[in-house]
Amino acid sequence: MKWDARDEQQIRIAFSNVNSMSEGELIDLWEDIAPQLRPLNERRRRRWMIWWWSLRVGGSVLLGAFMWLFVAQTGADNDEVSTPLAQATSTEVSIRLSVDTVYSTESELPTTSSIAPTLASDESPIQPTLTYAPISRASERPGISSLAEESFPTPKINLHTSDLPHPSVDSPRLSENDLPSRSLLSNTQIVPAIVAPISSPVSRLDEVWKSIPAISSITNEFRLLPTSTDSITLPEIPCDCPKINLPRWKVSTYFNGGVVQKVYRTPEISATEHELWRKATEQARFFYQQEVRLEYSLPFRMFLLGGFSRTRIKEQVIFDPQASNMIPNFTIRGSRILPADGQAVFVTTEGAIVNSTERVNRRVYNRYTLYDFSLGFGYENDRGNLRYNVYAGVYANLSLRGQGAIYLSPNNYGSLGFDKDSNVRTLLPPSVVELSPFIGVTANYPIAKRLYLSLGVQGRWGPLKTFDFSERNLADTDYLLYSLQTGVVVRLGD
Amino acid sequence: MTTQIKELIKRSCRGDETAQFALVRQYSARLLSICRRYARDDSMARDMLQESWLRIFRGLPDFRYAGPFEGWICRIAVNTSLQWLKRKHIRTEASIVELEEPKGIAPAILTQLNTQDILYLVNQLPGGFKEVFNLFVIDGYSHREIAELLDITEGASRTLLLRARRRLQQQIQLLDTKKTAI
Repeated sequence: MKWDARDEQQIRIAFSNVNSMSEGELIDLWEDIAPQLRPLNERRRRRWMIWWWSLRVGGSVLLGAFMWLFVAQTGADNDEVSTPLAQATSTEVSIRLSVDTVYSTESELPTTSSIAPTLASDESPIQPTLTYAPISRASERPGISSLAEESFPTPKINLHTSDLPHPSVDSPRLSENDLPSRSLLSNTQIVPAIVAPISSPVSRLDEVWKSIPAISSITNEFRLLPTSTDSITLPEIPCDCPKINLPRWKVSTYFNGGVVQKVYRTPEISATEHELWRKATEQARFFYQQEVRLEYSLPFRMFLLGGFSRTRIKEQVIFDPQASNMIPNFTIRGSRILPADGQAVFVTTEGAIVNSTERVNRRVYNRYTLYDFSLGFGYENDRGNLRYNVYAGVYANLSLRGQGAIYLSPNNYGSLGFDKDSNVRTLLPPSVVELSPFIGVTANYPIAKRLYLSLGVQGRWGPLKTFDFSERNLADTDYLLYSLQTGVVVRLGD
Repeated sequence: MTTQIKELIKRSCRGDETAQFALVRQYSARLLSICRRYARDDSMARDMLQESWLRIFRGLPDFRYAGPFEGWICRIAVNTSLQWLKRKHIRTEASIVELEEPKGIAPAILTQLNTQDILYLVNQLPGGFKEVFNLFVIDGYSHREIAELLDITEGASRTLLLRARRRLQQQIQLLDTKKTAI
């Protein structure tokens, strides 16, 4: 009889039935593999951390840049003045445009016939101070932005006066033939002459005119420049105390990092009273927080704030190398998500308490992740370019997720000292919506229009359920989080 | 592939030893059975398995989730085992000797043999026979793939498989005769 497919199938079945490996064999195998993998893993972990944090920082920067660009785009329609520099520029532009407006209004242009006789007289105020020169559009002049021009739309006349005569200061008199029939009485010397005094705190345009006799004469006699009775709308020029119309809305992204102080509300666990599932000490605690905030300005420099944040608290755990630790009955594969009641399912321990003699050098963490809404109010003041905020409020805890570290290697499992895969992962429910008060101070420095860099400090207090790995698990604790805060603030347009 | 396995793979790529151990725990038995089929003894199989896992973890970032993960690691184990044999010069040139044509066995005989007997008989095949038999019958490689893996011609692969089957038939018959005598 020939060999057939059924025989091969029989052999395949035979081989598939031998897929088994004892626990000891597995551990031996892992002990052989792990040391060779460790350098590779270290490199990968480092790479991963660099990538992960770069992504976070880059994301924050991109978010800030996007918000800034968005705001700058939408804010272009509003002539908001947000910085002293911008304000000064705006004032200057307004004045210049006003002057140009007067000159460029065709109806107000003097006719040759009306000017000529006076100019021809000996009392002509123009001589010897003024010089005619060609004029271009206001927006084409240095220092004048097209934005300002759009803000004060006037019936511009494109008067190309390149062919105009250019009487100089040497000209003793101006005759009718020297004057253009349609021209702007503008001059490269006039504009700085006007702008310079106005940049200083001179509130009324009239004073400018008066301060320049030649111009005021022209104004009065030829009505080339406005008098105080002319209906020219000028922006209000601030005096000593500039009024800055800041946008009411601000969006901020912050990154906080700091240390954690933990206070047990329930008595600290005692090994004599409770059977501990692990014997360890918490060596260090720290946290980091990412937050997005929206602020709304109120009168009297007050503001409201609201936001959303994610906080990650880490407790570094060092196990007592001489202590007895119980082996929890965990399935190694995957992670076990415990029920939302937070009661530890891993109570079902298996095996006896065994003694561990190995030194555990790895850092292991209990991790708690909090998602919060924040609500508060604050006070904002400024000094020079810096803007200071003092604020306070509460975080309302939405959810709390914890992952506890368990020592799983009393049987000398080699590098499998800790099995993070078998760590307790659970949703630790706040019994009610827990509130965590916070208070902070920040200083914002403008780096561009509407964009600020922020640096500050913040403190937060809050209750937290934590793992204590005993029969009574979980423990009630209070946390104090002290943090240094950095961020980006973008002012939105009204 | 379950999301759990995907998660373990991702974490392993990041250098998470726990996830790596979880993978080792899940698939080592399967890989060991492959290595045992190619190895001459158990310690050799463990060496092959260890090297297979190292290669798997080094190549894990290149895994594209296009096919089953188990299939991917099994192929690595097979390739590693064959390369291991080649490196150690263990793979014997299959002695293509003319074997006596067996009279044939009834399928019932094979079904009556227990798993250990079948494994024993397959493992008793000479080097070249055993590898081709394993690759073709158990691991499902084609003759072309086997030719590439073993650096032989397709014809040689077919011949080796044929002779491996004959040898196995002989062994089974022999074993059956012994059992009957007892």
